[in-house]
Amino acid sequence: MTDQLERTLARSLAERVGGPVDTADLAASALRRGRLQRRRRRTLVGAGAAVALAVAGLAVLEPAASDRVAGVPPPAAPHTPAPPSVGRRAPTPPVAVGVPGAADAPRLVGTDPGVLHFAVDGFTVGAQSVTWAVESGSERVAVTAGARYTEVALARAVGPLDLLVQRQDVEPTAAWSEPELSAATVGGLPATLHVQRSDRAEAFHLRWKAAPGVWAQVSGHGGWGRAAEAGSIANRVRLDTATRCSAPVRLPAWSPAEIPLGCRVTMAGGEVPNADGRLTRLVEAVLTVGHHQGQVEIGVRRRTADGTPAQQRLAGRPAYGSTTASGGTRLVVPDFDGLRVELGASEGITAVRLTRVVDGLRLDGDPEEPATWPQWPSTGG
Amino acid sequence: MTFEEYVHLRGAALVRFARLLTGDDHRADDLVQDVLAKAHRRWRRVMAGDRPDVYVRRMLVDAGCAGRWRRFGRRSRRQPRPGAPATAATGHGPADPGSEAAGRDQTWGRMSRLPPRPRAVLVLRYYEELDDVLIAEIVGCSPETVRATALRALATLRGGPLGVADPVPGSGR
Repeated sequence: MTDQLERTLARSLAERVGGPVDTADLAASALRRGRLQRRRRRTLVGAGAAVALAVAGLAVLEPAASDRVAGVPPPAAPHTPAPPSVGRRAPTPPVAVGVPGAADAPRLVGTDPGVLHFAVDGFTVGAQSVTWAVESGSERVAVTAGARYTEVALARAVGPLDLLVQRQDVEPTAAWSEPELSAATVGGLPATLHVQRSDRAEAFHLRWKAAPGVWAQVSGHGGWGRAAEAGSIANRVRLDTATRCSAPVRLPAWSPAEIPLGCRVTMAGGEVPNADGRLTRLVEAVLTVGHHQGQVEIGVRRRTADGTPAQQRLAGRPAYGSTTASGGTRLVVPDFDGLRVELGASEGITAVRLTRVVDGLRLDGDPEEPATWPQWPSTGG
Repeated sequence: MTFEEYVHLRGAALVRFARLLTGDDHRADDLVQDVLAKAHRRWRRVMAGDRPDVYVRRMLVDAGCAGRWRRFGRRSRRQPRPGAPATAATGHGPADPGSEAAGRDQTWGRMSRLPPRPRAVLVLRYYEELDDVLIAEIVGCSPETVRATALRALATLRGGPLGVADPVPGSGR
């Protein structure tokens, strides 16, 4: 039974949990620290030179001093977001040539997993990561920069847009104000701006009817003054253009009972090393296919170090599999021609079926250039 | 799951957990970065157990009990914005700006006087809403010890004597 003290404690903890967390920066900081610690250990054990050992010993006793020891580079300043790559344009969904935008084909919004019926001028410039997706009746493009998350979405109804707002990882326990609603306009069309504030951040969504039967939304959170950006972003949404969502892969033919359902691509703004040390910007490209017995997700990801022992060979490559807690099946090929391929299926879809998908799958296009990826949905080739 | 994927999925939750353990945002960031750096070095072993979250949170608690976060909240601890509705986004009713807020402040103040493990037990129970079996795995004791520790810690928060002892890791198993 929960008594008053327990409720008070739960609320007290929820109030004091703090502001947003930049997980990309957290991972980078942890890796930097790990590298520094390894260098320190090597300094300690290396060469056997008494002087070096003495200096390294001081380094262990006084970490601040150790950063100035010759051969041990100073740690990078914490919480400095990685800069976007220089000399390459920001990742952006490629234009779907000859495909109408939402202005000309409003009824198609959210219906084709391979097409976003809009574009946003200059939206991805300077982003640390860019995601574009068609899933669950909505089309969206989202960017992150530090703790800031901003998303532009279209849907045929407000339900999928509500879902997108709910899914955003806004600090659920910060002391948020009641939502403030205000009237706005986007290109002369009436819009509504919702804003909630805590003492550290602001969450907002600006929503308007952008075309007959099409709702548009700019939403985001993290940092202050974000709501003021919403109007500027909304005015850059273009409904006369369509863009593509696909993956650098061709899937084997599927039966009529299997229906393409979704697509999601995430690219890093700056290049990051994969398991081989090769710089890449592809984080993941995931396609979802519906099956009469459930769903299958086919993910092509940046290859990362994976020490899991292989249990089998799939398509001639080492692979392993597992059963998920919900009874689904997961197959992983850690190195599929330089990329990591992961298949996940809900309960009811057999590993044999997934194995056939892997056997018939082949990479296609430059993983770094989404414009070269085959159109989705497509099979064979 | 790769290290980067894990941090992307769970990093924010780890930092929030550490903030409540330490009562200090900067120390929490430092603690989580340090623990993640160690976890990265032994990531294969972390993943071998198939429960990286339990492993990493146990590392956080252990680091605390080794003295990394004992000095609770002496630096820049954030206070809730005065007068702000406490839980507008969590579905609770409107906050009473008077006695309820004072009660929460008092409870938080008493939390700061608890030893590390009882504090961790309360955070895992009342913020993370984990069951006692999982808390026991993270804290390193039996579920019975978790229950007893929570009861004693709650008694302390009610204003009882500050005599809550750290449950001994492994006790009651």
